[in-house]
Amino acid sequence: MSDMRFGYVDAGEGQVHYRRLRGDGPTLVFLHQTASSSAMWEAVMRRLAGGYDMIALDTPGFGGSYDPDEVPSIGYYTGVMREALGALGVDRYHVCGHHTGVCVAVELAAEDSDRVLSLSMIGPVQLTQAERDEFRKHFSTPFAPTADGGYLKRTFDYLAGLGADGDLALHHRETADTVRAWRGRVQAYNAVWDQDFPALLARVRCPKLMMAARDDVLWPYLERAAEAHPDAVTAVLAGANFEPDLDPDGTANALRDFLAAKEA
Amino acid sequence: MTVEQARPDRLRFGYADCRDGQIHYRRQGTAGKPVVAFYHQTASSGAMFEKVMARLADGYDCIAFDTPGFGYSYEPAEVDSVGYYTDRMMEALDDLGIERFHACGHHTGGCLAVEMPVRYPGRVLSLAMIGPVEATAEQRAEFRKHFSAPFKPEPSGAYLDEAWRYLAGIGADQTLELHHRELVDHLRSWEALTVAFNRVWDQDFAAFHQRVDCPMLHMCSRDDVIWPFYEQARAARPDAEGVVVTGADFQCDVDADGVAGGLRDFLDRQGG
Repeated sequence: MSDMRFGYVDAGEGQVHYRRLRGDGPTLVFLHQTASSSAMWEAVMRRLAGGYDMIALDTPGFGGSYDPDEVPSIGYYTGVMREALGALGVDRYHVCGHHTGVCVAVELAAEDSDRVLSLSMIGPVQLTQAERDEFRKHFSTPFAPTADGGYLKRTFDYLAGLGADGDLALHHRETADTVRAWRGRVQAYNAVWDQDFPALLARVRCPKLMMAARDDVLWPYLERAAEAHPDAVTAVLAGANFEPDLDPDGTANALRDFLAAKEA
Repeated sequence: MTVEQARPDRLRFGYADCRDGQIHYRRQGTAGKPVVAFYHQTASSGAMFEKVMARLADGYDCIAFDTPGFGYSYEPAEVDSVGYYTDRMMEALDDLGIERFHACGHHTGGCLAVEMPVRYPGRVLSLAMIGPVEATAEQRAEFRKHFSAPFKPEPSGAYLDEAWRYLAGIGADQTLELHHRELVDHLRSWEALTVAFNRVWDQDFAAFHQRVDCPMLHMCSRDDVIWPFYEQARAARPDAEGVVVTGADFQCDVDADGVAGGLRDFLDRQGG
C-alpha cells in the first residue's frame, strides 16, 4: 500500500480533497497552479519524503474538490484553504505555491503571519495592473465542452503551448485535469488578474523562496520580484510551466536547501 | 477508515481502505437504512450513480464505489481476474463496517458483484445487475475484439477525439454534460479500461450467475450494446425479476427515474 494518502476535509461549501505524505518534521503545504490539481506535487513530495508532513490540496473547482458557484476573489480560496488546514489540525506550516497557488500562498503568508513559517513561490506573480490586464486576455477563454468534442484538442494544444508536451504522461494528466476544471479555470484566472500581488508580497515578513524556469510564462517577473525583495532566496529551475513535474529534482532540492537553512 | 454519516440531502465523498490501497466512494442516503452498494461500468466511476442514489436516498443508505484503477481509487499493480475487484470491494465494505448489503452493478460492476453472493455467502441481501454480461465464450471472444483498447494517449492528441467518438458510439452523447463527464472519467482510466475489459471477457459470468442464491433483478435497455446478454440472462435465471429501462449504456443518467423506480420496487420487497 502506498504511503501517499488521499482524503477529504470539510471547508468552504463542501469537501476539499487532498493528498498527504507524512514524515518527521514540520508541515509543508502545497498549492497547485490553474488548472492542475495536487497531482502536480507528487513527484516533489516523493523526493522530500521523510523530512516533512506534506499536504497538497486541490483548490475548489479543481481535482477532487467541490465546485464553487462563485469565486469573487483569490481571498475566497485563501479562506477555504485556511479552514481546511485548520480542520486538518495544522497549526504552523511552510507553504509552497505554483502560479495561482502562489497567489493563495502569499495571502496566507501576509494574513496569517503567526502560522506561516516560510513562503516558497514557483512563478511569483509580480505584475503591474497593465500586465495583468494583458494576461487576462490570453488566460480567460473557457474551454467549454462542445458537442463535437473539439474543446479537448484545444485544451491539449493549449497545454502543449505551456510546455506540458515535454512528457506525454504529464500532457495527458494535465489535459484530464484541465478538462475536468474548465469552469474552475475561468474562475481562478479572473481572480488572479484582479489580485494586487506585489502589495501582498510586500506585507510578507517570513522567509521567502522564489523560483521559476526560464521558459515559464512568469519568468520575467521572477527578477522583478527578487529586486523588490533582496532578502528572498532565488532558484532557477527547468521545465517551462511545469517545473515540479519536468524538473522535480531541481524543485525538491531548492525547497530542501531553503527549508534546511531556515531551520538551521 | 473514513466514517461518514449518510444523510438524504447530502452527497458525501470519502475513502475506505482495502488490502492494496484506498477505495474512493460517494455516499448519500439515510443512516440506519439498508445499504445499497453500487458498482460502476468500465471506464466510468461512482459518478454514474449520483442521480439514482439521490432518488433512493430517503429509504436507503447508498454507497457508490470507484473500482481500483478508476475514478479516485488507487492504481492496482496487477488485476488477474474480475475476482480481484470483488475481493477489494468486500474489504472496503469491511472497513466501513458494513456486513450485509444490497449490491447493484452496471456492466463490469455487475461482473464483480455477481461473484459476491457466491464467494461471500450470507453477505449479500440481493443482487441487481444493469446489463448482466451473460455471454457465451464465443460472444466474449467477439466482444474482446471491440471492447479492449479503444484509445491511448499519443503526442498528436488525436486520441482525445477517438475517446470522444467511442463514447458517442455507446450512447454517452445523449447529453453534453454526460458526454463530458464520461470523457473525464475515461481519460483518467485509459489504462484500467483495457485491464478491466480483458478481465471481464476472461470471466465465466454464467457459472457465477447460476450459483447466485439471493433475490436477483436484471435490468437493461434495448439499445444497450449488451441487450442480447440480458435476454440470455433472463433465460438462464427465469426466477430473477426483469425490468426494461431506456438510455442505451447510460440508463442511470438518462433514465434515472426508470432505474431508481425499478430498483426501489425490487428492494422494498427484500427487507434488510
